[in-house]
Amino acid sequence: MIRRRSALLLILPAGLIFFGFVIYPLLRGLQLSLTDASGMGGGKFVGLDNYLAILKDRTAMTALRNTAVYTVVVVVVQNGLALLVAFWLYKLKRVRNIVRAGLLLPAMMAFVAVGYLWSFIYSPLGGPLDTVMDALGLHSLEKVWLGDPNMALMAIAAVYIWMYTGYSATIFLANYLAISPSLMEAAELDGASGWRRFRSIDWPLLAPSLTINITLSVIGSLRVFDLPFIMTSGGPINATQTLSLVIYSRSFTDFRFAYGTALAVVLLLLTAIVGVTQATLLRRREVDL
Amino acid sequence: MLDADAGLSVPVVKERKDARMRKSLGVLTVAGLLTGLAACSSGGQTGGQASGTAPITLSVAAFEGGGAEIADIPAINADFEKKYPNVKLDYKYVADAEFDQYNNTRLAAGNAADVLMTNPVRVRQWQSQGYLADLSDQPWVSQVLPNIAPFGEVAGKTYAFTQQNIPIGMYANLDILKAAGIDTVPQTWPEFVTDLQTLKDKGSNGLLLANLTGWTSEQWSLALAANILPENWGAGYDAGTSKWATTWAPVLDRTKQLLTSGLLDGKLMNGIEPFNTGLAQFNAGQWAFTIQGGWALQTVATTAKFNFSFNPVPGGDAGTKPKTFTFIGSGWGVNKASTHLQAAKDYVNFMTQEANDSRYLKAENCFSTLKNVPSPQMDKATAVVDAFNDSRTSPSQVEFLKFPSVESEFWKVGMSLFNDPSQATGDLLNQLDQAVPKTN
Repeated sequence: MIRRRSALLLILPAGLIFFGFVIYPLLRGLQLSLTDASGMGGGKFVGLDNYLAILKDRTAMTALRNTAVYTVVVVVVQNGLALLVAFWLYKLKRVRNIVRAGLLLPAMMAFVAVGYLWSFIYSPLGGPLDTVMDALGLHSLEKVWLGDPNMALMAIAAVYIWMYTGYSATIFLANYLAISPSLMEAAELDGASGWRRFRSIDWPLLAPSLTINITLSVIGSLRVFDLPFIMTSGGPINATQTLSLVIYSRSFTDFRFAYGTALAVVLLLLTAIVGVTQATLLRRREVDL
Repeated sequence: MLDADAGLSVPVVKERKDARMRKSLGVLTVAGLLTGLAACSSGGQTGGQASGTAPITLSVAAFEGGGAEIADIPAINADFEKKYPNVKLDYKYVADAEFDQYNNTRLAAGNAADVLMTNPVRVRQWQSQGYLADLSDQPWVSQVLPNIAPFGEVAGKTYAFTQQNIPIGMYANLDILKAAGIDTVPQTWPEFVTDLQTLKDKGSNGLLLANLTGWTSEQWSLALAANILPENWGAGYDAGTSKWATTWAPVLDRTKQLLTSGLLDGKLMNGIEPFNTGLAQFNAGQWAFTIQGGWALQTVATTAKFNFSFNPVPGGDAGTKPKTFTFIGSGWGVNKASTHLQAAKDYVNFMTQEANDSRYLKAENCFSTLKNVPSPQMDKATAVVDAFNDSRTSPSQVEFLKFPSVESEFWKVGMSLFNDPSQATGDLLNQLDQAVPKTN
């Protein structure tokens, strides 16, 4: 009984902070989403009107689709590349430590700085990317990266992937280094190498890092805001509009704070459902393996 | 003088002294409280008095006067403090992008700054909740230009002094024009198209409309609209007497003419950032024409190594004089909940006085919004100033519309047209009619 009371006392400060800064704002947010408040006080109860309005908001629907596409591309490409980099670094012991530090550098940069940097790189007039393509004679690959509705979202996804591939690779590499070398040696003695070894030994044993990486990249992608905000403001023609951007513009440009909050609740539910589902499946996979 | 305590024992004397001390302390405490209450009371009454009474601190929140947009405000503030020595200004600069977040919660909580920098959208939003003080009785109200007055008003009452009335127009590289055999900046649409064709034939870059995000295509359209549309189109939109469809067709059709004839590369323009890359391209002498605001005059003047001028967009038919438009930007309002109402009104009034307003206008390259304050001379912008003095200037049409996202909806249409000029103009305008509801 005393231990239980002590335990409760010990978690009380953290519990109060969590309640004050997470649970209470969440409940207030839910309450706000059921009103027509403009963000400057007041607001009357309107039931589920805001949630029904989301279904008729073409920009919000486009943003939902863009966010889903962006998430799938980022999660698959970022983790695929990170796995390749980690596999390569695991084999190259001499360069491993030097490269590992460099891999984390892009993730340490501020989104705002990265956004401006890549806007310049992508610029069709004097931008380094098109200049290099031009110098190499690859004229068909010279694009208006951020101005083309078919290209802009992928151009932004590429920047996010550039930022976080090294970060994910570092997590994969840590998992690789935790695998017993004797296990790898035994596999090689049994004739398992290359793809066969990766599929039968590496892949199952990398399950914990895969769970972490996918969880982090899914959550990071679903709430993407900074890069499209800085690089395209959601354009061209809503091509890079994401849910977080719409939440921002509806709340702070249109002064439809309650509607913006309703969108934020939808994003929260979406993130929670996707996050919990994939984490559960991946954890189950870890146990099965 | 007899000692009242003489002959008494030491403990009794001490007790009496303690009692007297307690009594004195009590009197002092009561006196202190009364003084404090009096001070509070006098502070509370300051709202009804002139600034020249008790010392006060007047808080001002603004998105100019700091960062990259000083607008000569620190010097004006220093003069205000000299004129009103009892008022100490607590001037808080907050970037425009964060200004609503900064103020809205404070306004709701009743602790926002005494003086608030406004713009037409914020005047409407804040006054919809009754946060702004009625300034209709202020001496400067009768001096506001009639076409500017609506931007500081809600339901016929004045809630803000609109100060920024900034021209947006066409910068021309006169050296490129001269090299192509073009002696003067075009004045009409046919002349402009001919000149663009001449430049193209000579291998020179003609019109730069750096349109990443869509802002530039909107300004370009507004500039054409100033030449083509009736001036009251914007004022009639929310009243239900104006629509986008068909009225704006000539504006989009002129842009389509340039896009389809190869005089403007819309897809390329959609990828160029306007305020850094685009301006740098023009300043490097790469393009003959571009669209920007008067705020870029100093940058172009100090960076460009060529002769240039700032002009109205030549969007009118042959034989007409070019018209231009202005962006109605910042102004000043007073927080209704301010405890220093009179001082706050004095601050706004101080801003309207010629000596102070002129400095702001000169720093910002703005036209005046007041009848009794002349617009500043702007080097290289004679054509735009002439248009203003000749009543060939009107406020931006979209700023009359109350729907907050009207500009971003316009950006989508502009980018869409630049991306695919084969689209039917009517479809794009119908799209705008649906996306921009009539708002009151």
